[in-house]
Amino acid sequence: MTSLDAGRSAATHGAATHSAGPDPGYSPARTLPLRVEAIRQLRRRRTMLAFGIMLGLPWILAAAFALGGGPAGNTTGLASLATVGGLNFAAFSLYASTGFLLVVAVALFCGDTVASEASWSSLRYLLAAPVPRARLLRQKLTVALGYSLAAVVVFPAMSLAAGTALFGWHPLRLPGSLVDLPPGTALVRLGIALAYILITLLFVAGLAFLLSVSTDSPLGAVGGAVGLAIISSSLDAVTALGNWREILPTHWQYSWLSALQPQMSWDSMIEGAVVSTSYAVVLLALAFRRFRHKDIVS
Amino acid sequence: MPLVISELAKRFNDGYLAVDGVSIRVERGQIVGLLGPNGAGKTTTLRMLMGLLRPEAGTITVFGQRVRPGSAALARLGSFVEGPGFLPHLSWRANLDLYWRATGRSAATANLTEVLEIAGLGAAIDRPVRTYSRGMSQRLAIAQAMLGLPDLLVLDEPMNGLDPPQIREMRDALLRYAGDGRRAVIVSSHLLGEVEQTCTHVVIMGRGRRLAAGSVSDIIGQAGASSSGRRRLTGRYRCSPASPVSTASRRTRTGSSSTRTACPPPMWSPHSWVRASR
Repeated sequence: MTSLDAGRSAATHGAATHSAGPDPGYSPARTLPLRVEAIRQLRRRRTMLAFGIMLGLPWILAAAFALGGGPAGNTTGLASLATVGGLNFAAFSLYASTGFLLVVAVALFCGDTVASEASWSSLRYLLAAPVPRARLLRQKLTVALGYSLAAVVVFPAMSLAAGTALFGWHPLRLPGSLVDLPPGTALVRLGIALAYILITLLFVAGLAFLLSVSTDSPLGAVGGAVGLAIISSSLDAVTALGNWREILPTHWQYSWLSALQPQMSWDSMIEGAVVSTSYAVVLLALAFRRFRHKDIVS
Repeated sequence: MPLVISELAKRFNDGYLAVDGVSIRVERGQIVGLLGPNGAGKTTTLRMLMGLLRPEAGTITVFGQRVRPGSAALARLGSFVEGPGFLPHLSWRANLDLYWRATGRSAATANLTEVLEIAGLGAAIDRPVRTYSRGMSQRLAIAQAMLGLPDLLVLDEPMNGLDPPQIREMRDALLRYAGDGRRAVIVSSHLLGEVEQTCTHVVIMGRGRRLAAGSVSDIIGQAGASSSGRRRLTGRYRCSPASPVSTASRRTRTGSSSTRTACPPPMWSPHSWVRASR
């Protein structure tokens, strides 16, 4: 079109929204608000089910212990101390869920988020809205991490409530040494353990998110992340690998148990936190990089 | 100018050259039909227009702004490509509402009532997505593309899956949409009759190339009329796919020798195809 033509059409249809240039009502910084993304995810059956399990399972576990008459035997592990009180039951449920349940929860929220949009074909309409690609990932990752955080925190919190309701409010009896910690100190220690578990799960979040931008199958992304975490745990069991196991992301996932010693030590938790966040940073960087250059064919 | 596409090319990772030097212009008030058989490169072209695919060569400008993945230029464009994309667990209304909020614009500018009217949809949008037929889903997706009354509407095979009365309604909706001379529509189709009845202009594509372009009466009228008309068409748009010179020069330009094997079969000429479809 010549400048003459452009001038004529601008004169004929002078309204601002019909002139050349960008849409004045559009601003990239306002696209896909966190609130909107949270609502889009919240009403999904998957989200509801995940939170249902996180809220219901502690009661089922506690009821099983109560009805079963408590653990038999005279071992001093966390499982055998589960019925000592609410604090002990919360510590036990953390121990029971670290290796699998919490991994699945985080993989579910972080692995499903982009791949499910691709499988619904809604991803292309968000990108053409346009939600800039890096912003779409940032908003989705923020909401996914928020839901993951909520799920991981809700589980031990509900365990504490269920355990206290069924077994009473007593000091935390530490495994191994059988030292009793007063409730105040015990809550701080459990808080530290939970915070550390959240950090170790960052690796799972990064892995699931990378798979989520790489595939159009939500199940593939979630299952892939859980599967790789399990493989990492299995390799960790091979003692022949020696020191190499220390760079496995799951090698340090139970290091929070050192917070349940009479004399708490930070060393292995610091090492584990560094390993997990390093993995997470690399995996998330790869996810952003891959998505920025990706041809969207879903 | 709503849309200028020049010398656009796209080769996929497997080496398949889906779009090969296509140029398209869309002016205000026009409904431009992108006509060609399956595999002609129509959808790939529209996906590049939406910023979903990165072109290998060429440029796209929407109202004077270059289109790149996620660029602000896309805000003036409403699109429907390769079927609807709704969240199955939400109602239609929630889908449209959340989509519009995701674009970051104020609810007042969505023109929802007007859009539902244009798309011929009534009060039925409060039911969950799963409860509807494909035709309904399709019309809602087109309504979603029209939200905010964008100045350029991009529709990929919008009539697919609609029954004849719905097709008539959709045709009228498109005519109304571009009818005031300010907005423009680009619509792809593999059916000649659809383009003939709906569009003001047509771009004929085949095997990733533009074979002809012009007003519907010029192109389709001529091609169907007589052999002299077909010659005029070929001469005027310099687009004969049979010409060995143009084929060779294109292959040299894109630097590939695998074009022929990568292209979908069969030998296809726009003229025989146009005749056959009538």
